Amino acid sequence: MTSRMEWTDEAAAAETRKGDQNAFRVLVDRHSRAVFRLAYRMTGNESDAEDVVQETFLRAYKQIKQFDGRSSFSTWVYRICSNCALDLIRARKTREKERKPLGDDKGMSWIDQITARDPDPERLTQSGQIAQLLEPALQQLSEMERVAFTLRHFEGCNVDEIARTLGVQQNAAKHSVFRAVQKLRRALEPAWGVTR
Amino acid sequence: MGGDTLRHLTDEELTLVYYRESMPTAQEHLQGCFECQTNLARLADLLRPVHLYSPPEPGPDFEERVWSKLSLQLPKKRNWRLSLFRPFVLAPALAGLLVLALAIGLVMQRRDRPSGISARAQARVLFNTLTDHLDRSQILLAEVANARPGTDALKAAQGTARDLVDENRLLRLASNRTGDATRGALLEDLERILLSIANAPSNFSPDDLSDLQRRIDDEGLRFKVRVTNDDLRTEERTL
Repeated sequence: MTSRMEWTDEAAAAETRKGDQNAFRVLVDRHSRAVFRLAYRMTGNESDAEDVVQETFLRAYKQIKQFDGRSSFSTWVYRICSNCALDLIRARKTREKERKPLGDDKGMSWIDQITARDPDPERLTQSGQIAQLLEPALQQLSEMERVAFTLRHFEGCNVDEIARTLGVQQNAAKHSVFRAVQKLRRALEPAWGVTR
Repeated sequence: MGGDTLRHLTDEELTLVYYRESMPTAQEHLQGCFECQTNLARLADLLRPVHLYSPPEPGPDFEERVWSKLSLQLPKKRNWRLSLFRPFVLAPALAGLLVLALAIGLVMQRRDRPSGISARAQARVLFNTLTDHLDRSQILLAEVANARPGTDALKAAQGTARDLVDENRLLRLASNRTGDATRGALLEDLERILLSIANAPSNFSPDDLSDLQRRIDDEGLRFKVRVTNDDLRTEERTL
């Protein structure tokens, strides 16, 4: 007999549809970290990311009948995660402009992470300068550009997967990635002009 | 992109090459073009530091923490007798809050005349009323979202929904008057659902209930209400 941990995602989803919450737990255990990473990159802080994780899996449980196996479970749940994160971002009034001070791990922004983790002196100089430009550049991205860039650059999703996650055509997904890269490029090029 | 390998790659094409999603013609051009190779290297150098970023690891017990919170929220059997009782307890509190919200609405209409209530006090009253309203809306939405066909859960919720609709209208007007479009929009979404619950006919079918529950889920309304309520409580502490 196959143990729960050996179930494929599709098998676990099928059992969940029958009402087996322990089967759903298999999916949660398997995918929650990846969902957290995506949520963190979209929201920028740990507390919001954990809220998004909770809401993502809650919606996934309720909508499990809509998972038909045409895409992978991870692609399907990423889409739900993106929508939850977008809901949270839109519901906030001024969250994009608020950043916690250095030293507070729960509120460390992308900038703090990059500069805090860089041990190499040369890269520290470059990444520190680039990091200072990265945050305002990321804030200039639209919600779709930020999601598309996160999925492409950090999660390695291809254009087809990004389009399915966002619920848009492939061209729209491709252009969102491209516009995000262009905006980041315009922001980061001055740093390279200084260091090179 | 066509078969023109003499034309340099555009920025968009270079981006696709960087992400390994380019056409064969672009790759063919790149092999023989030093300028495009240089441009690609420049793009890679620019984007490389972004890879240094990685989210914090949430800890070895993360999955356990996620599940222990999540399992409490997954649909369970409920004691519907308790839900039937709730509207009678809430009614007096609702009436008081409606009067308060109406007073806020009237105060805000008298912009040209001194209201006798400071702006800070008005804001505090509005915050308290809003958070209370959103708390009760969350409870109601949860009851409806978890309602099972064939039970009286929806009928029990309708009285509460009617009270919440009236209160929601006043609060929506107050939010819009203060220029708070985000909260105004949320209250508008909430009002539509509250109206659907309040006006549901007596012969509401299981399919109608499923549709209503799907609307609540699809709009992510419970999540939005909770997030907005959390934000309000944070803001209220700064007043």
